[in-house]
Amino acid sequence: MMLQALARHAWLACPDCPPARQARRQFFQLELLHNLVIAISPFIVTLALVLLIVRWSSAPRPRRTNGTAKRTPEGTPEGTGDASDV
Amino acid sequence: MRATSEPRTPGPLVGAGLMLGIGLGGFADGILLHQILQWHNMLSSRVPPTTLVAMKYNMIWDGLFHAGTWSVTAVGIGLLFRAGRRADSVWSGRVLLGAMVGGWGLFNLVEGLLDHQILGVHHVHPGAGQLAWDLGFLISGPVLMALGAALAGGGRARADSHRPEPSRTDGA
Repeated sequence: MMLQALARHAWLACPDCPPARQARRQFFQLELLHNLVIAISPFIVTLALVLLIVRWSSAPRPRRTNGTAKRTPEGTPEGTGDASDV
Repeated sequence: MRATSEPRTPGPLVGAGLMLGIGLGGFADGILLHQILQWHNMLSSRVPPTTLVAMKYNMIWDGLFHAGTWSVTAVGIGLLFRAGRRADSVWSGRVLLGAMVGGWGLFNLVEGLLDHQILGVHHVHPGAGQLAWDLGFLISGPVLMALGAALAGGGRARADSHRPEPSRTDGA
């Protein structure tokens, strides 16, 4: 109780006290849209890059062999299963 | 159960790992830098947190940043679940971990370039030596990305060499 009263007195734990109200007012009044764009832009750019990386990593790649795979008479590994083999 | 000669793609697992890395890396940034050290506040170059009102204002924006990282993490969990259900997806702990580390680095790189260098809305540690802190943060991006790529590449090679596998227990 005493701690709560102390915090309230210091305007730290009081959601309706002037600093909190003023901060909320500033949040809505101080270029809200512009700041939202700024806050979101790193996420948007990163997600676009993630899409590119996923597409690139999903692309078929030549199958590596560990030397034990059976080879066809033409010399290519048999039954590697990658889309590149098709 | 997978067919033995079925081609597998790392795409779904890499996508999930990247999203989880962005989200969890963002949480690491938010918890360590924003909250514990009280640096790196979202709009601290525009409204320096030198008064209680300015601190609370920055705190609201830090909260929105955390909302973003929470959302990305939630999407990552969904993608991981979906990758786990796909028979054609590579299933490897190394690929997942590598993608997560890479995602963290990717976000650090983009965030460092955009917010610190181009827009200048905040700095890692404002004040004396802020450029050094910003560059350190920026460099952590490519370093983590290279580490993640090495881990994921090794994991994919292992997963390929362990094929065919009858169950999901393959890969490290």
